[in-house]
Amino acid sequence: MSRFATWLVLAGLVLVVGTANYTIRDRQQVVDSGRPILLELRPVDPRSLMQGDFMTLRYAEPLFPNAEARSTLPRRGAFIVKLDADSVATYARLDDGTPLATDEVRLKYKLLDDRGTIRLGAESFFFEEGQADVYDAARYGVLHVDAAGNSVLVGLADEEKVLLRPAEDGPAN
Amino acid sequence: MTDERLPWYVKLVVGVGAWITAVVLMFLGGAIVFVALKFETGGALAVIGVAYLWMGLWIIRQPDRGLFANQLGVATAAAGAALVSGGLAAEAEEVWVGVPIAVAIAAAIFVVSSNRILQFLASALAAGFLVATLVAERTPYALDIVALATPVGLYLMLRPPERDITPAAIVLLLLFPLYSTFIVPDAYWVRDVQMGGWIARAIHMALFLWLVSLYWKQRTNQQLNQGVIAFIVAALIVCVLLPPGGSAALLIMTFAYVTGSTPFATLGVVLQTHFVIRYYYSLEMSLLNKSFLLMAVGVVLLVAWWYVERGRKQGGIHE
Amino acid sequence: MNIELPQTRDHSYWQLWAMRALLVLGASHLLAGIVFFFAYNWDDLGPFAKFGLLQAGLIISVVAALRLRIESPAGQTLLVAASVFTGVLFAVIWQVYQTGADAYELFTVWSVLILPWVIASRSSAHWFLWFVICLTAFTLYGGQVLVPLGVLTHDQLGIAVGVTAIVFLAGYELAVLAGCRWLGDRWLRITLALIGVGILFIPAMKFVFDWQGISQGITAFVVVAAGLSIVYSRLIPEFAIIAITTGFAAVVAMAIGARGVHEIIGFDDGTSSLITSLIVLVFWCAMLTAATVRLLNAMHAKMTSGNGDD
Repeated sequence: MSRFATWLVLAGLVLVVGTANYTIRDRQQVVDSGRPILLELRPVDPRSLMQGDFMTLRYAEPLFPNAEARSTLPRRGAFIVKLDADSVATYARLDDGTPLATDEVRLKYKLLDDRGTIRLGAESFFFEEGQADVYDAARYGVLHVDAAGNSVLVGLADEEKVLLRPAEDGPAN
Repeated sequence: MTDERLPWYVKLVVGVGAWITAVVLMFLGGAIVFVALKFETGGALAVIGVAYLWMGLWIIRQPDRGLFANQLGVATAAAGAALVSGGLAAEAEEVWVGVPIAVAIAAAIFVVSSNRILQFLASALAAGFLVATLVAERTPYALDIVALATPVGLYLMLRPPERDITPAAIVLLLLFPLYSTFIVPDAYWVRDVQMGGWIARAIHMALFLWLVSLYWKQRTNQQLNQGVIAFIVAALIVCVLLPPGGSAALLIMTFAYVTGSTPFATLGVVLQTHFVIRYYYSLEMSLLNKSFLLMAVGVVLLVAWWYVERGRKQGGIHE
Repeated sequence: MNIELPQTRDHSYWQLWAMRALLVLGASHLLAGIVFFFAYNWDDLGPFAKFGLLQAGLIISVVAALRLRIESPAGQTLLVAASVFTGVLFAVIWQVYQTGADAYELFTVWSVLILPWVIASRSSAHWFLWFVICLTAFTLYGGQVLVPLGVLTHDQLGIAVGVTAIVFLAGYELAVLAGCRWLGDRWLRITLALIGVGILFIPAMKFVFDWQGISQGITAFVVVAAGLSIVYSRLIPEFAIIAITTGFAAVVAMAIGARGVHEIIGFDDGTSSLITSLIVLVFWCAMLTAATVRLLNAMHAKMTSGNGDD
């Protein structure tokens, strides 16, 4: 075996492990220090490639700018949402550089198509196979958001804004 | 009139062409009966089918027929077989009626024609009616019933009778692997009908032992070969762990190895890949339990590989 | 029972085949089990336990591959295993931290990160895995970005995916020509051609039956089929690919016949035109099948007269 091949294999290992742990650290930071906000879900379950069972999330209308504002948005960017006392977010304004009030949070979005469909954060929630019943009660997506507007979905919450936990005894097999 | 030396996939291409032509011919039969003559019965369809069958067989028995006439004859006879069995089954309003009729027609075709494509299509038609009956009747233990076809097919492949019926043997051999991976996972009735499977597993175990013993006697000169034993142990464990659909393709691969058949080796690989993908989506048990079964199977096969490889390195290469 | 096994079997070839098959089957079932395990998304196993297990598996596979020599069958299989572990690891990261990233990003990251191992292992199976991951990444990118943005229509995406597969095939042939002899396995070439032609077959048939818009579907199919036929009959003789393209082309021609009959005579203009249409179509299909047999017979005779293939 050539020396080159050995080094190539080892370089590959460093690359994979490095990228993986960098990604993990990056996202764990958002989870650990990000500000929790609740996004109201719109009532909308298949099995994903390699990732198991999941629930598709669609967020409620008050989270999005109106059609007029949407047409001016760049494809990727951030806008500002306003939080109520329970941290439930609604759309406030475009991110025009003015400083944030204490009840405001910056949130990144992505325009999905030319009809103005917007994605905020995760569009699906993965859970252990057989736990679908638990998450039927979901009314809010719980996100942790950092100052730049990066978000990680940490769970789903019910009507009382309580984080849903998987059933302890696991699914009945 | 395909050249016997042509690779198997050419025969597959020709078979598909004949089958598409036969489907158009069936539409033609249906149009004649339902639209032109306005007979709204299955019996009338069967009458057209008899005419097709007679015409098709007559064409392919002509000594000076060209390639085109031959193709037309094969497709006409195949369409006839389907219309007769389908028509009579529709007349009786029972799917199972198609089974004995399709079997009888297939047998008759083997007697009067030596065309392998036609023989294959007629045998596949009979098998199709059998599967349709099992689905429609919600037959319990369907897996075990279909598994009975495998030993018959295997025996006919390994010991062809005087009259060559290889196409029927191929259909019998492939019936269970195709049925268990393509039909069963989608079947809506799996939940409340007992599908069986243990008899199918037992059949697969017996066939593994039989194939290996044949191989042992003829290829290893009676010498006790530990690699062969390692393979048997691995195969039996796999039969227990996986659903019978999972061991079916491995059996096909073993058959390919014992006889040295590239088409069956290719088919075995494709079927096993398909099985694993379908297994991911099947709901018979949780992904966690399925993952443990698959990992166990993988470990058993790898141990067998390691054991045989070690034996080869130590004792030089057998065979 | 007096059963004679065929005596024409090439014993050393099948011995090698059996050992390869046992190794590949064992490894693929074990890896499939690992994929299933993490897809189950077991709550009792915390995220960091999952990351740890997968990275341990990754490191063990790579170290074992180096110890067993990466050009041995076991070493190559272990590097393939490391590539699969990489995919599972990133799938789990995507699963634990749900950020709104698209699935295509997962497959893109996966295909880029394993490239060093794919190159180092010199295994056609590893290249095939890489090809499948790349094609999946491109298909998802098309479906999740290009189609919603209106860059491509759904049908055009199908054509683009099929053409991509053929581009990979061309890359493979160039690599073989450039001296990568270890890539010269027939199965990879045949499988790539089958996937490419099989994918392009769908938009071609759609075009024939829907007659929609522009004729890109049928054009792509015809160009690719003709190109493959020329390359694999004259430059790199490979009869299996000729049979595959001829077979698919015959079915497309049958469909064109059906469409033509419908346009000229009509299936829905009364009884006599319906029956005439069907009779014409029967003759057309039988004629095409006969022509296919004749063509393949002639090609096979011509291509096997020079070298003793099969």
